[in-house]
Amino acid sequence: MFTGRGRYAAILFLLPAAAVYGLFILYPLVRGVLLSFTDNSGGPTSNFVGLRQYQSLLHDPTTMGALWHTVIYAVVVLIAQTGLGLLAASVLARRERIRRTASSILLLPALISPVMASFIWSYLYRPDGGINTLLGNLGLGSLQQIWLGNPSIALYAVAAVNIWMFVGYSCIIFLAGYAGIPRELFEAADLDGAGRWKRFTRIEWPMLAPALTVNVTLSLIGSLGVFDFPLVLTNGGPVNSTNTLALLIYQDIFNDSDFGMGAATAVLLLLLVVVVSTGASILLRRRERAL
Amino acid sequence: MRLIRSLALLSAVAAVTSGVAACGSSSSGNSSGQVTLTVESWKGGGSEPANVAEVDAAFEKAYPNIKLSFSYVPPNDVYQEKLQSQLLAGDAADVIMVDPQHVQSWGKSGYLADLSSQPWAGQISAPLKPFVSYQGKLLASPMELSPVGLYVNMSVLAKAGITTAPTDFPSFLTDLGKLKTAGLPGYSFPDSQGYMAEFVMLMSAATTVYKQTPDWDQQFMQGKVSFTNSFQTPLEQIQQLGGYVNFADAVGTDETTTGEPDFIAGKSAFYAGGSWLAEAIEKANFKLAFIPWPGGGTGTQPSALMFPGTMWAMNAATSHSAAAEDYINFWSQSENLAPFLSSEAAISPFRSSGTAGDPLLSTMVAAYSADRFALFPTNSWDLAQPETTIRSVLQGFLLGKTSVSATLQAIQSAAAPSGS
Repeated sequence: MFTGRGRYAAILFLLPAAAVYGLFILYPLVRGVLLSFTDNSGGPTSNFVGLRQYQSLLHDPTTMGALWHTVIYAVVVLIAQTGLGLLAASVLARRERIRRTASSILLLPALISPVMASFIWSYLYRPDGGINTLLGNLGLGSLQQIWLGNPSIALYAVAAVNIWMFVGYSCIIFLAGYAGIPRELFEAADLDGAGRWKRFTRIEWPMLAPALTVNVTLSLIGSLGVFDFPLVLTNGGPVNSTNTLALLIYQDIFNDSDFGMGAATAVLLLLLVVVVSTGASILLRRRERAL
Repeated sequence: MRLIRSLALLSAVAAVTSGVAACGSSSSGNSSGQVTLTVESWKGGGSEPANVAEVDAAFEKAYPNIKLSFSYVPPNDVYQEKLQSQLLAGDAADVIMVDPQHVQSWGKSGYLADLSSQPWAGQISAPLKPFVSYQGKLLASPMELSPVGLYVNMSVLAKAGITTAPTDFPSFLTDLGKLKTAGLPGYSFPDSQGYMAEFVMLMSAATTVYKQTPDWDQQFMQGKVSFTNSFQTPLEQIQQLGGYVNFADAVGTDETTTGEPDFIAGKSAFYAGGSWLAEAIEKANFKLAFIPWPGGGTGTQPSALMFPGTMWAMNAATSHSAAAEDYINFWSQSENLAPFLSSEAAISPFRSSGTAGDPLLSTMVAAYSADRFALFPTNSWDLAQPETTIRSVLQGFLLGKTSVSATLQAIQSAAAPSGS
């Protein structure tokens, strides 16, 4: 594309950004990976231990449990948050008068800090808290649960807080997608007598493909790295049922001063995020082109 | 991006590890002999003023040639993150606040100066010495012993016709039974974060394990004793509480945000916690007692559990070691330490000193004076990673997923020193 002096000028212009990126992103990343091959405990000295940290990780049931919980959490958040966001957007897209107000209300939880949101929900989730009281008042006492104390449902209860916070974001992204669909397509569908479901499957769903890609990618990256919600709501319990990889990194570094193990767990999480989000992005982009 | 930033943080630490030259601690002196001594602490600001400013003002008055530059750093993760980086960079304060775990980890890294020759060293309560030492070197001056025990709402007990707080386990169960029968609030056992069951196990062990074997921790680290043989009673006591506590609810209830406020609001008669909660709990509108866990048999006196709390240490890289030693020495003297202990509702860690005058602590002080106490094993087997596992294992026990013996076996595996 560039030849002669133009090429040198392009390189010259790229250099500052490349230097900043290299210094603050690539170099620390490489050092982080190198740290994972040591037994560093935060002190000035450390020993090279090769792959020992990774071998320990792979044989540690707590880490493997956290990996599994992280994946389950991401899948639940991805499906529920994207689904609810799409549902809300499809309703609001055709109701211009309430769209702005309703979407603002949906976005409100995202303005609260995750820590504060977790505190609020810890009150709602307590055995005699708001949710169980509401269920009791509605005559649904059989659905009352020890939401954060039952290892079988605690992870889903934590995920629900994540979904509550960020479903507004998903909705807004889908609404932007709806705004990009030409009105003529809907008018043509009306003339052809297409019903609501057919309009959705034949026009909206295909045309929302770019919004879906953005939603899925953002949701995956956010939920695979989840940390705040399980930390405040359950601290990884009960019985490790809400432990996630990001929480383990925190525990390794701040509780155990095991920087080497923390770095190894962080590399594992990085690989997970890169593989899953890149894979999902490639598949969804391919789908976009096919449509 | 968050992950990359996390790795960036870790690597920044590693980069410093790999050889950034230490530039000495940040204090300064001048030709007139005036020294500015820097101090970093997680007490003395925020929600924990702890009368640190008062003690420091008295120090500056007593040592006019030393000016203090005090920095409050929020506790826990923030303190750890900031101090860890500063110590690596050789830029930490001359005097820093530490806890027993810091003594071990920062002692291992060589960040803390040896204070073995200081005049107060011989006054430290003997059982506390392992908590302020690393490999035979005395690296910190203790500031307090914080009792961990059972807060009792005596007003609720009175409604059930109970006039004194329980002193042994049978009477404790009897009291719980009377409260239950009378339809009164009973024992609040919130364990969502996992530390309540750990507290109760250790509080019970103070009487049922450590009373007989005061050096149990050392013996355990040497492989001479085990949880499976020694800790049945503490777990059986927790199990017996199941008749009065809904453990499924307990595991779903947060200790700090729910358990403590509920107790203050009079919704429970018993709540376990440390003396650091006393200031908040004493504001409650009922008659209050704070007692050691009544873990012994009928008619016996219980032993108290004490938490070796905050300590002062001297940065090994300080260029003002004499001033730093003066500061730490000043804090070790009973009359100077008293305002801090009073604020903390804690007991002096020095044998020669008086103990706290708070009437709420009288039962704890009596136990301490009679040598009926054990220390929270934060420097041996109950360190960070084992502690996290132990808390999780105990949650499983509360939920009925494991038996006493299986739970003890799991704790044994988590706590045993590597290689044993």
